[in-house]
Amino acid sequence: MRPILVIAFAFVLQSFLSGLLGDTIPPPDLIYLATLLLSASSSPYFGLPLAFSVGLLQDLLSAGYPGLHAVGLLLAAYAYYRLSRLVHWDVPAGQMVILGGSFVAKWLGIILVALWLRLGQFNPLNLWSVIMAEMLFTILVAPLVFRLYRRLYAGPSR
Amino acid sequence: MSETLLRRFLLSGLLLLGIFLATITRQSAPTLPGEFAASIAPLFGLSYRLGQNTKASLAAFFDRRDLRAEQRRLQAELQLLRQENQRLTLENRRLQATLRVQAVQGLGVVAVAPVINDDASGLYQRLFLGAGAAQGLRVGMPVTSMEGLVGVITEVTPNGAVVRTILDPESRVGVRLVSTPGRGIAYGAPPRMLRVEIAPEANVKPGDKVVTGALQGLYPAGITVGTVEQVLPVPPGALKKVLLVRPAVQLSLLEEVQVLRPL
Repeated sequence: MRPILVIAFAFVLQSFLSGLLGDTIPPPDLIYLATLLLSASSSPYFGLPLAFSVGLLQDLLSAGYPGLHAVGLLLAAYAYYRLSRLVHWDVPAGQMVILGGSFVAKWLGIILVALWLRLGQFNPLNLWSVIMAEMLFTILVAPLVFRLYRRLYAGPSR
Repeated sequence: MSETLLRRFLLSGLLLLGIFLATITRQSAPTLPGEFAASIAPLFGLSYRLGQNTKASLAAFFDRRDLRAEQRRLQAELQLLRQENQRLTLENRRLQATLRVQAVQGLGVVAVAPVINDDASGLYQRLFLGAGAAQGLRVGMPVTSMEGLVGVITEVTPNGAVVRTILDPESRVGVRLVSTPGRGIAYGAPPRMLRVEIAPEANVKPGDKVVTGALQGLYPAGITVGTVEQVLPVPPGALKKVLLVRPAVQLSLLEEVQVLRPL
C-alpha cells in the first residue's frame, strides 16, 4: 500500500510543480526521487521491477513511448543499488554521490531507448540544459523529500 | 546462480522488455498510450491546474506590487516635471517680457529683477527688488515692464533695490501726448492715478495715450505711461490743464521688472 501511496503522491505533486513552474524552469523529478526512496527501502528483486513499472506508468501517463522512462528509472534504481555498496546512503556526501550517479543513469537509460527508437531530438546536445536544470533542482529538493518521507514512514532502511 | 548474476539477469530482462515495448509501440504511438493518458489525465490535471492557478496568483500578486512601486515612481516624476514646467513657464514669461521691452521700447536692459515686496504704508508707492548692486543696478536707472513705465531706482543695496514708482507722490515724469502735441509733467496721485499738468492749449481728450518725454532726462522717451481718463475743467486764467491719467502698469500685479540703462 505504501508504494502506491508514495507514487500517487509523487505524481500529484509533480503535476502541481509542472503547473506552477510552467515552461520557464524544468521541475525537479519527484517521481524519480519517490522511486529511489522505494528502492532504498526494498530489495533489488522488488525495487528493479517497481522502478520499471513506475517508469512505464509515467510513459503511459505522458502519452509517450512505453519503455522510455521505464528503462530510465530501471537504470537509476540499478545505479542506486550499485553505488550504495560503495558509499553510505545515510551520509550526506554519499547520498549526493548516489543521487548524482543514479540521475545520470536515468538519463542514460532514456537516451539509450531514444537512440534505439531513432528519436533524433532526444540527444544530450539538445537536452543538456533540461538535464542540468532538472538534476540541480532534484538534488536541491531531495533532502526535503527524504526528510518528509522519514517523518511519514519512520525512516527508510535497506 | 549468484545474487549478482541474478540481479544482472533481472536488469537485462527488464531492459530488453522496455526496449521491446518501446519498439512495438513505435508505430502505434501515441494512440495506445494516448488513450490511457487521456482517461487518467483528469486525475492529475487537477493538481496541474492547481499549480497553474497558484502561479497565476503569485504573478498577479507580484505584478500588483510592481505596479504600486511604478505608480509611486511615476507620481514622484510627475511632481518633478510639474515643478520644472512651472519654472520654465515663468522663465519663458520673463524672457518674453524682456524681448518685448527691447523690441517695443528699443532700450538696453541691464537686468531683469524680481519684485519681492511693495511699500506697506500705502502712502509711498515703492517697490522692492530682489536684485541690487551685485547684479549691476545703480541709483537713477529707469525701471519698466512690458506694459509700460514703472519708476526709477532710488536706493541700492548689494542684493536689493528700492524703486520709486510713477504713482509715488514724489515722482515726477516728463510726459507728452502721442496723438497731439503737448508736453507736461506727471505727478504721482496715490492710490492709483497720475496727475498730469499740461499746457492749456493742448487738444487732449479721454483715451489719449501718454508717453515719456525726455524733459528731465531721467527716462528714455517713448515709454508708455498711461491713458488719459479725465480732463479736468480749466479755470479762467489758469496756466496749466490738469489730466487724470490711469497708469498702463498695474503695480500690484508686477512680478518682474526690467531695469534700463540710465540716460
